[in-house]
Amino acid sequence: MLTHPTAQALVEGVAAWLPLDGSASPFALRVARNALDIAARDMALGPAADERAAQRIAAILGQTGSRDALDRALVASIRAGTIAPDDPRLIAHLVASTLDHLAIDQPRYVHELAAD
Amino acid sequence: MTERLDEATVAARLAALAPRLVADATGVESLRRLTGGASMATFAFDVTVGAGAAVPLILRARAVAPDPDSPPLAREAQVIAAAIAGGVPAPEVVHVCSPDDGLGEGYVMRRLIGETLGKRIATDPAFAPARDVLARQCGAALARVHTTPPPPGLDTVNAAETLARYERIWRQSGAVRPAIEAAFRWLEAHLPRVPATPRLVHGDFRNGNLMVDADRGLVAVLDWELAHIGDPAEDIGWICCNSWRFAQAHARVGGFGDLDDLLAGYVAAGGDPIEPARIDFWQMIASLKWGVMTMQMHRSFADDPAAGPERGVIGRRLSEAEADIVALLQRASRPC
Repeated sequence: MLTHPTAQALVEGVAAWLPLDGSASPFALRVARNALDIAARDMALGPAADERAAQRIAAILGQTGSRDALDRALVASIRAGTIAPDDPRLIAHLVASTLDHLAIDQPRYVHELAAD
Repeated sequence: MTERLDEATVAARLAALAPRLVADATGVESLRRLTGGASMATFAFDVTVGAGAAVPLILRARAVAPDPDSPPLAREAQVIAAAIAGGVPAPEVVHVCSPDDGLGEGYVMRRLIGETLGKRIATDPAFAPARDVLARQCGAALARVHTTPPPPGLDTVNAAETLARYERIWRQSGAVRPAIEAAFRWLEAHLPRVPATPRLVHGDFRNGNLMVDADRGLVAVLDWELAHIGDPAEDIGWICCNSWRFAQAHARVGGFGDLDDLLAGYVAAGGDPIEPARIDFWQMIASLKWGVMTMQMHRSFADDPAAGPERGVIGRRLSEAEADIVALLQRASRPC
């Protein structure tokens, strides 16, 4: 799951801020709409992306669990050096998960990732 | 505590200062505050000299009490003067303010004419002639920066310390992102084995801090406040960072040019050849810095969500930095 902020925190943030007196600037309203669009894409695409990521990480680590638990285990393995940062299986996973993150967060970002 | 300067006060004090800025000055006109950061104020103004003639100038002044970590503006002025003496196109500093000037901490420099909006430089059809020459010109300018003897008092920054500092900030964020973890470990494993010969480094050399003429290309290198002593490849990696390419990912240098052209201009102007792997290394650090910065933005959103969602949305731009980092990891693992 994408955090910092979570989809829920984005929606709550818009609700906590949204002024009811018409004082919001067009720029601030555009930012708020963007925040809600990100949250909506996260809700629509996040669960399947998490499922795919969990399967890939499980295959790398040889253990099962939720995506969040597996992400923590993967970070610990990279940090400990048991998985090298240029391990081809890791890079294949990072390419796939990063494309999923962009589809949720910044679908129009022009990047140089090569999909396998 | 420095007072916050209003325009009327600045106008009066610049008028008093004018004869020391320009010989035969008769007054100051067309003063206006330009967009700028929260801590710095930038004013444009003209010093008149007799009938109809005027000298366009810029005042850069500290608007609020300085952060104890920020270097004095007088040092920034010294760096610009040193760079100009070294052949770098940059706006000439004509006066460093003293307390008697009543303008706070600041300096006055020449106001040049050109475009600084990175998106226009990278995409506007009118700038196509500039794009043909700009990467090579940037290489030549950087070679001259890197061969300029640094003025005293600049901090020295090296890659290992930079990584350690950003990793501490990253850990504090609590975010769990394998791509960022991989970036720290990859960079640690690829730290230059032979430390770079320390050079004057601009520190923020990117499309957005360059002043460009649509036909002739580079007019001036701006924004010298992050200048330091370090690895010259840092400046080249910085302008190659995809965050500053304005959706022109194919043009690695600032969204307007090719790295080969920049490096050709660099060597032709007397720069020591730089290995491409060293540029990749610093380009990944550039993306990593941006990624860590998005988490600092998220922190301030989380601390005060009612302030608005803007910084929360910036937190979700971590995915951009991640994509740029993973693209570099992917390329490094498949040498062609």
